[in-house]
Amino acid sequence: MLATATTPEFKPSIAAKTNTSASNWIEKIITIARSNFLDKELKNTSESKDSCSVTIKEVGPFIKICRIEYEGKVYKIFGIEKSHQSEIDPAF
Amino acid sequence: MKTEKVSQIVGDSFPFSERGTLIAKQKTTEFIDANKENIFLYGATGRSGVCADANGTINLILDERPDLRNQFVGNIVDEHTVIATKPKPEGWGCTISSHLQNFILVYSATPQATVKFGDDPISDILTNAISLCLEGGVQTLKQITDLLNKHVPVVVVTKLRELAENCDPITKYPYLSAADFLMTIKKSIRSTLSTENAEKLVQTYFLDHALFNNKKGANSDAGTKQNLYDQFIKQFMENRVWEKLNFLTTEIKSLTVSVLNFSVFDPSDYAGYLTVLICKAKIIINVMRLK
Repeated sequence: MLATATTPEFKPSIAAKTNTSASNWIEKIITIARSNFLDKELKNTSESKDSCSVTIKEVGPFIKICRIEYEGKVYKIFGIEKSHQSEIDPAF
Repeated sequence: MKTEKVSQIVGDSFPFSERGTLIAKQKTTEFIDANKENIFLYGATGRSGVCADANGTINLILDERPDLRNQFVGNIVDEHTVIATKPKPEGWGCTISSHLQNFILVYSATPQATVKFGDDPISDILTNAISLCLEGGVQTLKQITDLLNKHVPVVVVTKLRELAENCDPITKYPYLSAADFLMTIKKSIRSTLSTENAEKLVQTYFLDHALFNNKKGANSDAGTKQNLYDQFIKQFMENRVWEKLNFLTTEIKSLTVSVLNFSVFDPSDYAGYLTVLICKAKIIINVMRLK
């Protein structure tokens, strides 16, 4: 049995394995969000194949927000095209 | 982001020492708890573990306190974030806290993803509230200068690095730390400083500090660092940033007092003057309410 199961007070130290994870989910999120941001027509989609639901809307000049439901989590991604960063109104 | 206070946490992308990581984690936690109402921007990808870098430190905190996830927004870019998060040797072996769910993605309008780390100044544009700097190299120095120029207060934390791994192999001089550099300049200022004397202070700092690894020379990222430094020094001199170092402190809790304690102040700087007046007015109102 793991030490964590027998010691209720156990708190993972800084050396303990963390919940940080590798690339697959972030790559997926970036790919989905990017393709939606680049699509000139804002289309909300639901891809049952990847158990993924995407909602997208424009929230200000040059800034869109993409809501992605993926593997039971909801991700919110603000998308800004590189060349328009200086035109963003910080109060969007 | 309407009416939101947006803070930023920046710093080293090279891991701190083991002890430095613990201090960074403690200071960052104090900073977050002292600014509970704020949204925190940070570069989502980092190195976590016993020795973490600045972003990795935040990921460690999020892993331990997932309840904070709604306050954090990770900066990502379409090319480098994907490469950085792939395991070595294919990628750079960086990680992101799996609890992080809010992101700002800077993307390229081309078929290929081409946006690299450093191509995303949007986080500096959005930052409007007290920020935290954990050591930091020349890119961080440029960011901090941008923030100070906007009169955004910055808390700096130093002595997080393993010195043996953070010095130039030829000269043995420690590498530039944005936090240490700005605090050194701040401590050296006794009264109003001329441009010439400010330049001398900068030169004195670099008598025993290295900007990059001289052994690697032109084959390394020395060119990029020199370019960033040139941009920084131009901005530092032109905007007389040394006159805004009252917005810089090492103390998380006593910052309000530090920010208001102007010893060097340019009367033509109306924006800064107005900021101070508003801060003072808010404090007076709060004190009157307490009475």
